[in-house]
Amino acid sequence: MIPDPVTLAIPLFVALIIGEVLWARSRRPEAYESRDTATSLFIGLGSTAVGAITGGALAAMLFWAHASTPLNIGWVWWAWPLCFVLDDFAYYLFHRSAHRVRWFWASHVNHHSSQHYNLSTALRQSWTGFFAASFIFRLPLAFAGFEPAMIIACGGINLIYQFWIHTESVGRMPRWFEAIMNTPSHHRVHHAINPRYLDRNYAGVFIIWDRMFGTFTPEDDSDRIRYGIVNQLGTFNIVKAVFHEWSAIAKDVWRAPWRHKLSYLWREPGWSHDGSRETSDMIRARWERERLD
Amino acid sequence: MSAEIITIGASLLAILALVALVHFLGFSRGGVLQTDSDAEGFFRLAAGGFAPLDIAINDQRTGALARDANGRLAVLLAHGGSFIARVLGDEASFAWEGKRLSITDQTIGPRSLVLQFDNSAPDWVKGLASAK
Repeated sequence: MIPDPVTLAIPLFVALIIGEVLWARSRRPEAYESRDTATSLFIGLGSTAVGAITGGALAAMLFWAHASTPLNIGWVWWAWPLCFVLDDFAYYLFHRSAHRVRWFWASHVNHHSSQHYNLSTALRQSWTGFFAASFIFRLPLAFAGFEPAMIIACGGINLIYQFWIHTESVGRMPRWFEAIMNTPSHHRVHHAINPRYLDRNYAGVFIIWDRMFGTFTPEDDSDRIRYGIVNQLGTFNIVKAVFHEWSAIAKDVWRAPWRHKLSYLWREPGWSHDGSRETSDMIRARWERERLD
Repeated sequence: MSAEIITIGASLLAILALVALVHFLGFSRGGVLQTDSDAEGFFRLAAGGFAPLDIAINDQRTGALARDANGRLAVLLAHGGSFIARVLGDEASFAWEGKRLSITDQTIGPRSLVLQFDNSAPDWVKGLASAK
């Protein structure tokens, strides 16, 4: 039995948030806002509660996948780093889908709905990830023969790593580190709604995936970052923050002509059959046109 | 299961303590538009795009109204310590009460946005109530 690394890390999360709040008081007062922090933390608590309920089903699915494959890597030492790297690649694929497929975005959007960027934002985790079937991205590891408990532990460590990059208190890390690892600078870009930054830097731990697949954009210090989502939510209501995109999808599917209904599930956020809305690609193209004018 | 309940209970206490800390350290103030370019930056991020031509910020610098080259109007609404931009629809209505301008539109929710201009508001803002 491997203990859940995320649960063990909670005291560390609390200590680091206290440290960042004290830093923000003197150095960056706009980094925190009490209602925003409360929303983030309660969403995090809800996510933990949902995880306690759905975690067993996720484990059962990984065990099923592991049992149904002739491959069995076992607990050899080298399986750990290999599993960690491959799990991070699976995270990249999941995260990219979570921004490019509206079905997955509906589950992920609450992580982005804060207009602030601080360590409490990191805890705005999904409540509906299991419902959205986000686990399908991790099943290939079990089919490849990795132990389910190892996959879950690597996923937990990955999540813990991602906590510290949700901060404005760290500028740049050493160059070699920025080249390989995901950092606060890279992840600020990911949370930005500035057109140039939309749908960039999907990495979890290793930024190399973005560099390899053409989704990397470095932070430009001359362009002040604005955080949140393209159509800002404008509420601290936790239920709205968690479910608003699911509700919007349901309305769109209901109203759309039959031949377009499914497109509102699998096309990118912002897509509409009548072109009345903007996707991130359209926003970036508009911004580039305006820059040239 | 009891371990999970203890974890969630302890997390709840930690959350309440953290929110109280953030509040008492002064992070509950509303947002203030520091500069005009600050306001412009928010307007430019309005969904669907908005390039402000004229911007009128209220005296408390807690909200703003802008128009673009096509005559479209947008507002900045305070949200916590930040702002959100909303482009107003054709059905938006405006009413002056002394130096306070009330703006009502479905894009800004059920309540009106009230902007106070103790100092003189620009002419294009003064003319809104009569124009609509």
